[in-house]
Amino acid sequence: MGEFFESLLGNVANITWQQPIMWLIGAVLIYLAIKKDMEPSLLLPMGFGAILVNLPESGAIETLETLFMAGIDNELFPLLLFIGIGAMIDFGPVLNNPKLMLFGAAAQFGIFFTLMMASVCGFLPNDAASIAVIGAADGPTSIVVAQALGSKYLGAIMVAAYSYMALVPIVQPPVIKLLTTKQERLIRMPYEQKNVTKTTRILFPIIVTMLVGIIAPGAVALIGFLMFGNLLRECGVLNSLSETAQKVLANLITLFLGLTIAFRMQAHEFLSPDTLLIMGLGLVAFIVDTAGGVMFAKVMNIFSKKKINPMIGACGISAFPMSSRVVHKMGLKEDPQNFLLMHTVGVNVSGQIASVIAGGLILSFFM
Amino acid sequence: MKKVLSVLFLLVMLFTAVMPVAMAEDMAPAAEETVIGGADEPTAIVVTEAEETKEETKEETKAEKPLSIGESALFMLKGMVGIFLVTGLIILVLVIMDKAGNRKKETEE
Repeated sequence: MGEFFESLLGNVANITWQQPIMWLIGAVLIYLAIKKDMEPSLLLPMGFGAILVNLPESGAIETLETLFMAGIDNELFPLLLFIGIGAMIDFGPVLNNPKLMLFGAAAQFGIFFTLMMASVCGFLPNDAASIAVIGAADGPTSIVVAQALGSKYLGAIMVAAYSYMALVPIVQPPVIKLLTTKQERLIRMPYEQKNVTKTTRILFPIIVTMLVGIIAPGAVALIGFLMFGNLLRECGVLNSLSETAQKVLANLITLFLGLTIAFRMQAHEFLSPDTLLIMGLGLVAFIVDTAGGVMFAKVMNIFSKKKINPMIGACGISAFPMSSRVVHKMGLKEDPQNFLLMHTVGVNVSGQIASVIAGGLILSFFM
Repeated sequence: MKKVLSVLFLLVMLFTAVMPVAMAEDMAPAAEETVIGGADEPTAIVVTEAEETKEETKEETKAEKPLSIGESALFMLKGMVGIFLVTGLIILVLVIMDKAGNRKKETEE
């Protein structure tokens, strides 16, 4: 009888004190995904995976390691996901007003500021650069950069990146309000709809890939897969492939991505003071990104005749489409007749491109 | 209060942009020593190999150390310039395409 119980419960003795903490973290991620609807497609698999890999003598680790080696170690999953994301994005608002891309560029300031902060905190260059890319507010880019640079903090970086992306409605409004006056938030921006030709829509992904590829070769894979997805969407002759990329491919990869990342959430790797520091630095990155975009808009207002609502600068972080919705709602709250949506979407998709460029530049610098 | 915050943030941005230039002297690579003449071929090879090993070790040690504030500020400057350069080029191409499209339309009309 004793042997029977020993064989049944013997594994209980293998539980380390860190593992229940990881179960708790997993439970919190699942709670946030289900109850708070925060990036559920990723936080739920990550939360479940965190529990899965932290059971004593877990037999799932080998399977997840296989998936990790097959899909993340070689950067395959995030790149394939980019095809889906590219197929989902309509670059129309940017093509309508290309100047909006400048805000996307300005809002990447947080990435490089965080690089400095992470270095000050004592992280090695490859880790500091990987942590900084949390500020790209772009999960796949963060994975590709962290993996390519061989950062040991991939798990923590992913949790930070996706958590803060989900927390955009909480993080951004106070920063925007702190840096803008009521008058600035009331600035109206009429939207002039131009007719963007199909040729422009088709040439855009090709030209962007070539330009970025020549200047920042490290970003070719990232921008290339994103723009390939967009080309599928815009070419008009591959609708079924475009739909597959947007739905089936994106869902399938997302399904595996969250679970596979959990391989890097094993207690002995994840539970360290560095993880807390990374979460803090991730927050700094998001705040400075937002502030960078807003301040750039304010500086532009000094020189431009047509005043810009500085709030739209905050959408330059690439958390798409959440950031654009948040700022649009803030505009409506200040003035119910102030419709900023098309501008915010334009800046937001520009942020998507700029964050990939920033990721590529970081790779060029540190590889 | 908001103006003060805005100015403060701008100052931080300016400071971080100017810092790499100010610290450029610290980061300048040491003047390369040149060995001209005097050494026969095998000695020259040994010297070159020794220098290469020295440089590799130096790079390895550098990679194991966190970046200094000056170095990371330099990366910040390079990164922001790079992003604005690429973005500027994309905008330029889009504006040219837009103008070309408009001219074509006018001609057709």
